[in-house]
Amino acid sequence: MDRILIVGSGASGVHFALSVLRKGYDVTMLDVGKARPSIVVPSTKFSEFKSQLTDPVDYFLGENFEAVVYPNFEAEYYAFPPSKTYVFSRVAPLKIESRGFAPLVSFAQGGLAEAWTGAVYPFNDDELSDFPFNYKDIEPFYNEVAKRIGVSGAYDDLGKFIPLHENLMDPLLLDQHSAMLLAEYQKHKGVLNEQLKCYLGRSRIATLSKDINQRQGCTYLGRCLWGCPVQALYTPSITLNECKKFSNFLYLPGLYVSHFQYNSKGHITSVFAKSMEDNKSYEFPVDKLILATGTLCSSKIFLESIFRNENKIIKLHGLMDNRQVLIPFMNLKMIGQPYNPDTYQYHQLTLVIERDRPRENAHGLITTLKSAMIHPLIQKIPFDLNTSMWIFEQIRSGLGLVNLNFYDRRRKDNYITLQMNHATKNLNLSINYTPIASTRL
Amino acid sequence: MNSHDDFLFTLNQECHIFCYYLIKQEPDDYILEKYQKAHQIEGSTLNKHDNVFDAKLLKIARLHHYAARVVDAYSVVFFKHSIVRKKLILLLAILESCIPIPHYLNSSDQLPKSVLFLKMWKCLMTFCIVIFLGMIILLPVYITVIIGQKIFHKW
Repeated sequence: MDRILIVGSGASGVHFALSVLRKGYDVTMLDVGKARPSIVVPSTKFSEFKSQLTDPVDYFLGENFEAVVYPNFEAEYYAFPPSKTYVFSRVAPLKIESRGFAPLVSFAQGGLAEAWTGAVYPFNDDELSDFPFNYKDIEPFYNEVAKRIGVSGAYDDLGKFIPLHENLMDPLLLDQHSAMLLAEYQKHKGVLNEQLKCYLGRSRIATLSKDINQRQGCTYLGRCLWGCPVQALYTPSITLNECKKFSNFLYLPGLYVSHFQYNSKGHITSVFAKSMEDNKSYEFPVDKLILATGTLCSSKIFLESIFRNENKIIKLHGLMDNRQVLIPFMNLKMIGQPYNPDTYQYHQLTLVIERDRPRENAHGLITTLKSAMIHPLIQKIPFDLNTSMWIFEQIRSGLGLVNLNFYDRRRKDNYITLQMNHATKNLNLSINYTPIASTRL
Repeated sequence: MNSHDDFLFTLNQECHIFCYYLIKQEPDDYILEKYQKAHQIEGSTLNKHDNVFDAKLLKIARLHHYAARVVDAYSVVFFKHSIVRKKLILLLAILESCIPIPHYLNSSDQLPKSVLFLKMWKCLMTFCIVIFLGMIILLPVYITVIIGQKIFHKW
């Protein structure tokens, strides 16, 4: 049987690994593989959590207070807690130059999805129209993924736009604010659907609403933002651990893959990696290579391989993007209400705005504010902090955010390539992105 | 006491005043320790004043929790990046990390909307009075500092 070598332990890598391991293939996975910090006080609710930590400030703000957002912070408030810093921290060999683009890469075990919010939506036929397959062709795989990771959702108005696959679990319990929004939608949905072409329903999320296998269903601890302590929210490292149980799986962390070598027929023969610990180089022979290090890192490996084998620097055109708009909102009916911190923290409602061309429909994830760090928000209220704190206390339970996503577009003028750094003689990944003129601010 | 001890002593006093201003409670040893630690991190900008007026604002804010409120109100309108704001926000971040909820920043008032609305108006009026006080007290300080700097540069 062919030797399969997978680079990267993100979602696509681990699920491919699991599929071929079950078929009896020998699989080796090379990964930088930064490990997740251990879970603290795993079964404690958020409302009791702080008093059980030995050093809560260290936990929430970081050893160097890196999670404190000061008044001169101009970037987008998308703060990840210190416990998730390992997901986004880069490694020395990878250097990226980018224009018009803020790259996100991960060298964590499980990849970027170790810090995701669990949204899982299958593509419909309109969205797949550029591909050589339709929804029916890949539906069995959506069913399998839902079975493996656990997807909860509901059969509701969104079924018109988002296909309903098998193995969908019952949705999670709604927090009070989300429940109110959904109830209001039900009251006014005639107008919303017909005149505004707006549809609301339950989010499809990779979070268990009941126990499955050895994973516990969500117990509403309210600690999602800091890492689900019971693994109800799926992350790919769960599947990585499942792969590790196979005797035909070899997981080698601490290795940074730079490129692969191929012969005159274009067959890949080996992969080259460096140890993160001692910088030693290793060569791994391979029959079948799977690059699963994410768009940017996989592109880097591919481009560098072409360069090293053929001394050519090529451009990969057609970066795909979707535009996102973050829309904060305040629900006046919730003013003065207390909020319950012991609820599911991420989005529970999704909206679809129907356009004339179905593939251009916009999707919005609606997240109501619960237990996030709030000092970045309080300081934005234009009063002294004492007053701002009182005002915030009254409006907190009514605050929320819509993350509105427009449709994916492949833009042939945007590209990735390599740039030689003449000082260090290293090859940097160069990302060249310019939004189309009509969408520029 | 050496200058480092003076520095820590001043930070402690400052933390007591600011904590009382924010939540009407005195800080415990853990909060004091964290507040001090944040100021001693390499590269911290918490000990760097933008200018002489920034330093004066901090001195005034340290006098009393009422003074801290006046300076805070003045800063949020006229001087958003003042060192006083930075320190207050740091302390707020520390407090929200270690004070257990639901008592903190979770509305337990549950007042009727009309009463809430009146309370918000009262807040707004109080803020306007505090800002007015701030302008009366701090604007002359600002003008004095500016004139002093101009005279100093002339010489």
